Amino acid sequence: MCAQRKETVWFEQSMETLIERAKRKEPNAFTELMQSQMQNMYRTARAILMNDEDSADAIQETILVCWEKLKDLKEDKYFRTWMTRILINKCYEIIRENQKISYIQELPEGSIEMDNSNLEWNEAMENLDEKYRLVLILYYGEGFRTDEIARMLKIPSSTVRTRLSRGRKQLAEYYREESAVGKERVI
Amino acid sequence: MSKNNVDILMQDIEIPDIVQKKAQDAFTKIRWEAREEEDNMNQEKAGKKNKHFWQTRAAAAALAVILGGGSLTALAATYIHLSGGMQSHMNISDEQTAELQNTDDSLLSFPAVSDTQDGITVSVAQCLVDESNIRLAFYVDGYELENSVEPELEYLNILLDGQPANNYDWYFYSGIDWTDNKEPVMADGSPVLENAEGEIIPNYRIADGKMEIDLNMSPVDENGKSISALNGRVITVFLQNFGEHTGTWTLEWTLGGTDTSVEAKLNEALGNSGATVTVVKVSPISIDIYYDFAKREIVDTDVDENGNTIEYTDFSEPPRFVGVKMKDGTVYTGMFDGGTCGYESADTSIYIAQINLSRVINPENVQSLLFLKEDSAVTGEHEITEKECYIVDLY
Repeated sequence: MCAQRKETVWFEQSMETLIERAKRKEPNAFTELMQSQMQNMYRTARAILMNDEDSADAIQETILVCWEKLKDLKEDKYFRTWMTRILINKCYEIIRENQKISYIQELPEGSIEMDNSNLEWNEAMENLDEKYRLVLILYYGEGFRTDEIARMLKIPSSTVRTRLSRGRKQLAEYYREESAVGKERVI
Repeated sequence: MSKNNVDILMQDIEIPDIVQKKAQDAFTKIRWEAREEEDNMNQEKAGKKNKHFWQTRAAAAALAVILGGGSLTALAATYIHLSGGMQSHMNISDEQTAELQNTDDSLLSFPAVSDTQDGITVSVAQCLVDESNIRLAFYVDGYELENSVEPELEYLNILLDGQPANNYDWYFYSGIDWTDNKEPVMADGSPVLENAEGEIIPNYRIADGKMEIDLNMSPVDENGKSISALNGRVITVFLQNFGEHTGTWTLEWTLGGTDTSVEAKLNEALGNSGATVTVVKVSPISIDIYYDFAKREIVDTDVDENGNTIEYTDFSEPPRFVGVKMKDGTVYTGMFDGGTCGYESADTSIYIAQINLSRVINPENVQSLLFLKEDSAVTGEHEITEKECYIVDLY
């Protein structure tokens, strides 16, 4: 237990140190900081955009904006929230540029590239309504609280909780059906 | 909700190559911005102003090329400048930046690689790499000498994929550029001065106080065989002993490079020279030309160290490449900047000229190649016009 806690403290300090150094425009520290967030960024971008090329563009733009504006971040503990908000905005900009409907409820669907290496994850995404996809990823995938998600998406906390609940049910329903099909195949 | 359902959302997923690449491109741009900012701060402290002749559309174009020409508005006001020596040597003018912008996005790269020994830091300024040619520029920082004193570097050796690679030329950039009228100008804008012997006094220290080494390579292996398909090969450069600073500076990175080229299979006889151009492969900074040219022995004369005339046997050569004509009618001559040439093997009539170019071109815009007629009376490259040439159309 003690060993585990020490590791967590070390990691947090390390992140804090990286943020401080990145704010001082040290490119290596900034690179390390952003690379530590690549999983988070990719999951979030992919949940919104549903294709790798657009996700790559959104992440690239986010990296550049973060480099430019990190010095303006007042409290380092909000770094991940701040970065994710930038990323989400970039994703919506791309959607608008691609002439898709801009409001969160009309995210693209059905355009997933089936990548065998992330098959399970992709299938889970595909079987979720776009309304629930992002909040589920931000909550379960990224570990944000409902109030943080609400601020990021500029929706009420109650809406976040509702979407989480409905998203969970939809996912559970999907897996129940999958399980039933599996049993039928066996028979 | 069962634990498994939510676990799916939390699992680590494989980040695709395209995402990694675009992220790396952004990090590269950031490193260069940071370096430029640091250089400018140092210059301001020293009371000097950078005169970045190369801080033009060229740099923005190069940056757009690196990042795949994407629509990132964050790039609009940021420039990466090419090293002075590279830009001067490769004649990368405003006109040619448009061509560079249209070439493949991996022709030009800026590896973030450096090594420091004994207070001297050597870093890679940039690379231009195509199918057959590598152009490198290195910055040397911390090597203290008077500006006009020629720096010393005792050895420079190169490995490709761990194996020795040969056929390259390198030099310290002297800070002397040449206008289109062949007039010398100093890269830092200072007046051109001559010593007592009438030689132009160089300035080896570029604007930010560093020195620059430029290298031109058409790699061949230990058996003299050309090494091509350079993209993705690991290059290791060893620089040994800068004057009294002994030591080995080692730089290693994976080459980028463009595979963009235009290949034309032809059967064009060059007048009565006996040579036929059979294949031409045009890349942004090099051209490979295959001739069918039967070997002809010739006897020529030379003078030995004692002043005695001697005879020797050699083989005649096919009409040499001297330039290109672009689709818009522009003619470029004087483009030869090293390379290799010779017969493919002892018992063949296939003669191969691998030519490095002194400028960057867009292969898709090349209409014709120019070969100097054997009876031409021109004495200098700048005198060559289409009249003196066989013109071989690629289309």
